[in-house]
Amino acid sequence: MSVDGAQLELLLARYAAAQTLQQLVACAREYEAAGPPRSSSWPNIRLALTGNYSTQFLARGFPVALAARNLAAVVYESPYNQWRAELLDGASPLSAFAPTHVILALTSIELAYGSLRSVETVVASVTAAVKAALKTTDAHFLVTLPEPLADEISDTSAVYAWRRAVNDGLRAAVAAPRVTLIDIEPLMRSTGAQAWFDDRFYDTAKLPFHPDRTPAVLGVLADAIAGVVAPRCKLVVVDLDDTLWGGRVGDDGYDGIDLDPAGKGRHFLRLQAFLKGLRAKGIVLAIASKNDPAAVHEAFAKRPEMMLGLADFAAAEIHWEPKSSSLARILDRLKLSTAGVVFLDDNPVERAEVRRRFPDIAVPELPDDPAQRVPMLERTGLFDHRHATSESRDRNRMYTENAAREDAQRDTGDYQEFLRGLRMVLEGSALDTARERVIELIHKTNQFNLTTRRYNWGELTAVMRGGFGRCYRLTDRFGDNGIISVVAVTRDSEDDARIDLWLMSCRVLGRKVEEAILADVVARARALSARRLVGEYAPTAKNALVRDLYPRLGFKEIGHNGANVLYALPLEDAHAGQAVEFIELSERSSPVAAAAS
Amino acid sequence: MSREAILRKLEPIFRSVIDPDLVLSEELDGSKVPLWDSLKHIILMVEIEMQLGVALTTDELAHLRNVSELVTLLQQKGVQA
Repeated sequence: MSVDGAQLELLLARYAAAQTLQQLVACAREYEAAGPPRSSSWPNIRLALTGNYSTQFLARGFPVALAARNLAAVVYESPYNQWRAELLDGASPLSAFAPTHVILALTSIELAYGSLRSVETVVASVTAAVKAALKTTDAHFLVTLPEPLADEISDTSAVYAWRRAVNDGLRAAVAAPRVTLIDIEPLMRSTGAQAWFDDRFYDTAKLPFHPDRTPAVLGVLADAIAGVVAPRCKLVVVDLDDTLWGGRVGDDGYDGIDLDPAGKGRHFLRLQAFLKGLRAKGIVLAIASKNDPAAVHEAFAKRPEMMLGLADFAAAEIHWEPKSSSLARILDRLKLSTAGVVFLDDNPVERAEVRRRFPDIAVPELPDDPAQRVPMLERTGLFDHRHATSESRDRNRMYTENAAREDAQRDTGDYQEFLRGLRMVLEGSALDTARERVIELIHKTNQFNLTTRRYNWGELTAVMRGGFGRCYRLTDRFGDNGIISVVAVTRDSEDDARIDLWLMSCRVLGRKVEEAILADVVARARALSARRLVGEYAPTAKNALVRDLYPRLGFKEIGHNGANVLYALPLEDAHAGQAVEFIELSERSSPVAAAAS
Repeated sequence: MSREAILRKLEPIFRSVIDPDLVLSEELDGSKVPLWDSLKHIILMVEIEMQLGVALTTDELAHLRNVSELVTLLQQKGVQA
């Protein structure tokens, strides 16, 4: 990085940390001396700043604030409180400046008590000025809505009603394609009245807030400008299970997913509301979910708590193929490039898979705790306005500091490489090492469940007589997925070992885990001197997913048992049950077995 | 606190806000120090309040573009070492 670049990095870091007016001015001064990077391809902004309060501090700070958003700005500042003349007059110095962007900075304090003070007059004069200027310049206008007044301490305060009426009037009258309204109220709310208001500074210097609030106000205004220059996000692609609702709809059913607004389900609804808000801003939504389409449709149709409907999504890829394929298809269907695309998924493996194939797509590291997701997404700046920064600052901003998450192999490779990079370890053990979890899976799993037999522990033990039972835990680079599969094999005869029960969590589908499990089952069946491994598929409304599992794994259909289909795999065949190269099989000893030995 | 002592407390604040090379004396005021403009004055008053632990009124904020009056005022407010 050039000396220029490194110095600018440091300066912008200091700017980002500025908490006082003094610190802001020091950064502004330094940036004035240095200027924008020589080889910069930053867009050039001609910003005109006009308003009804003292704007000199904002004017001074804009160049560095916009530089922090990768914009090169030249700033013109109107004389104090000359906004009406400057905007109404087509021959004004502001017009002559030929701005690309105009900020009209209005404070309630100057409007509430002076000659303009009736609601109608305020709204009419602001509207007239903005509309006149829209005709005489090509600029985009950003108007701050008059902010709450210090005397608004109750909803019955007279000035509260006045200010609300002015805001409503302005929203209605000033709306236009080239006009953006900026609401300072959220900033005031998070700052707090105590730290915000200080009449002494308005009385002496016509500053409507304490001078040390300047950096934060400047940030809001600069964000608004950056958002107008280059709206960041165009498309958000979302996962469904454990992202838009709690649980997995294929397993839990449309009535079993968590959307309870009185409980944890509320946090999923918060994300839905957030996405709905994005859609209202013109951002396109799409679904990429590994799921059964029928189950998904049921959830959207039959759960009244859902805030989003299928119609809110411009595209939906719902199948079992890799998410990166879904994303490619969505981009193709919607004719979009990867620029301005965000992918949301609760599963770190899916996130890594997509990032690997599409390094340009923003994939925020969603927190495990759903309650923290919306605040985290707000802070990324991906959706609100542009927080354009250098790559390193981007990474810190968009992703949580998860040092354990090193970057996936980006250079190339196919899906196989990705799977290898996951460093999966499949640990097999006897069922009694995880009794509760095994029973839970037996009763909960619907989709990847070959026979859907809801055994209790006693029944399970009886089934395994002469055979064996196994449960499997999968760990990978991203952590421990816990017990993800249960298998119970029964001895039908001297020759035949039959897989009476096989279920698996859909979360680990598409990674060849089934093949690795089969390798373990085959090894054990061989050890019992069985000659054939028999598989059984009992069709249900929910397990169409595994209808072709056995044929896929090399079994041949041998007959039927009522509605169930029977398959067989000859164990003498050396090709049967081959290990999966990139999944390490390990063994955990049972405490019972250890005690018995 | 003596006027001299107050001046010594004020000088680093003036230097950090207005001019690093400034030598503070009671004769100085806004007209004699070009760098002491209205923007700097705001920051100066904020810093004085914070660092010396005093509260200034609107009038005081507005009219204190004069070191001698500033020192008198700070004495009255009981600025401590």
